[in-house]
Amino acid sequence: MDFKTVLQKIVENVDGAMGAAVIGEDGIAIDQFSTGTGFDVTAAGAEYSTIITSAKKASQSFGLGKTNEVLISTEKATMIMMITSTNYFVTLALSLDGNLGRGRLEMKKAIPELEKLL
Amino acid sequence: MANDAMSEVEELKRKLGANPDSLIFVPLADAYRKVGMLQEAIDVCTKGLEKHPGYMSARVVLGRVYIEKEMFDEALEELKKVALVDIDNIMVHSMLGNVYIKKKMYPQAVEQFQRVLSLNPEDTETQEKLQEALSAKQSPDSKPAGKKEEPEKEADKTAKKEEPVKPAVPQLDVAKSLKAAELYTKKEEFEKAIEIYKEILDRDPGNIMIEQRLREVYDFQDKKRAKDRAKAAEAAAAPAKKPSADKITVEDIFDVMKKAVEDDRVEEEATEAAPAAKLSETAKIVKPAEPKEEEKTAAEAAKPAPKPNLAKSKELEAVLAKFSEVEGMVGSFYLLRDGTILASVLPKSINAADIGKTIATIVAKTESSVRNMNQGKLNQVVISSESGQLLFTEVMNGVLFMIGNENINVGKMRLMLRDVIEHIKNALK
Repeated sequence: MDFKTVLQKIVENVDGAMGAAVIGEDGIAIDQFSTGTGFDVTAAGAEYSTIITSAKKASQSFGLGKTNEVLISTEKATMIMMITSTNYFVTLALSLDGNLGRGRLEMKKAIPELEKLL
Repeated sequence: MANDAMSEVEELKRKLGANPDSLIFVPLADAYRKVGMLQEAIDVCTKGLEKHPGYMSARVVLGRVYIEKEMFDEALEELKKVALVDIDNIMVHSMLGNVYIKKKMYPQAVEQFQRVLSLNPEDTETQEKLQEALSAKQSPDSKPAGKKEEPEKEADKTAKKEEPVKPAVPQLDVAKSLKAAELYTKKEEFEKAIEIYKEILDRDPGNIMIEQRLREVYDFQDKKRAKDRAKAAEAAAAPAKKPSADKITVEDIFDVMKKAVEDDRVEEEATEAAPAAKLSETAKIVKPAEPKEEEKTAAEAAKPAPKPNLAKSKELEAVLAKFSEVEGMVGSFYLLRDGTILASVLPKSINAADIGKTIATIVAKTESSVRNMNQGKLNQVVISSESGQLLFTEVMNGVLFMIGNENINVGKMRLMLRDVIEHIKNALK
């Protein structure tokens, strides 16, 4: 199984999923799968890595320990980012009516597989 | 394959051209690197870093390009900057270790590989590298020219070689020292901060970031002394309504004012370049001095923060107190874009004044990323960590920030959120 297959499985199992990607914390995407509905994974990689860094700083400021997940909802979409045990994170973009709970579940299921590949 | 890579470069160039302020220069630089256009990669990264000096990922990519160009000193310079800000970045410590190996700086390489293993003890590749670095460190060949030492006894060497590779002692003392130095700086106890930075420099001579911080503290110290002198002179002169013989001239006062403005600017830059080292003013109800118009971000300029007042603060605190009904809620606060906390309901262990600017910076960065992604307005961010959750959302050009522990009832919190937001809006009208 390769990255794209795992990511495709996440996207296909979640209603409203627009795309998923594995991204290094340096902002460079490892691989991605997109349904072609407005999810630009390259831009996401660069931009989301700063959000992850900011989130980590915020957690540290309050002594909350390691950051596991960041969820962002905007006017157009919801984005879930889950940090893997290494310096990577997995992101899933959902449309506004996307199934957030299912999205989180599928990502959690996929992370061990992705970690093996990393 | 090569065509694919080039078309990726072209596509990224097009995207950067369409949105020159975005962070897409980093994937572009990396794409240049992949096709071997290393100088272009350096140019793109350097230019991007002029706009986004605090974007550490760009420094990582730049470091990687320098390594490929065998410009190891430049690579070290960039990577060290990242390691100082993001002390747990495994990738960066690993890269630093590799560069030190190239430069035959084995003790430093050992330190970096140990750091990697302290963060990820299972990393077998790094275990091997550490073993190699330890062997090289002990080898007489590794000694710099002119510093030949007595060869070690064979038995000692063997004993050292067979030393088990320990999964590293985390260098948390340095991190703690840095934190302490920052706190002392904030509290304007500059002597103590200077002492700490000097101690770190003794251990890591030539660390440019620490040197920079030390210079900043000296600057702050000088400026504070100048301000104190000016204040004292002003106070002495005030009753008599004429200048004292110690002569505070108009030029002196002008200098002090200029320095105060400079102070604010240095602080802004420090926040961008090294958020962890930022010397934030204590948040207070009094709004900090307005920066010059051109220094404001577009977002700030577009959304002037409302002027806080004490009555509103009290009213808001009463609204925030409603959250105490939520199980697991630690506290909440409402802050303005400049980091001023207008109202807070927090336990004593959290000093709202210390975190205002940090949080404002984090919020601004998140918003800017969402904007660059063309995702419209940011509604809400939830950060889940080992021991709790953070949630923030924009309300009336300010930000409502909530902190929960690991047992927080997120459902109830969200339910109350709407109500609280309405109350905040009413209070701020």
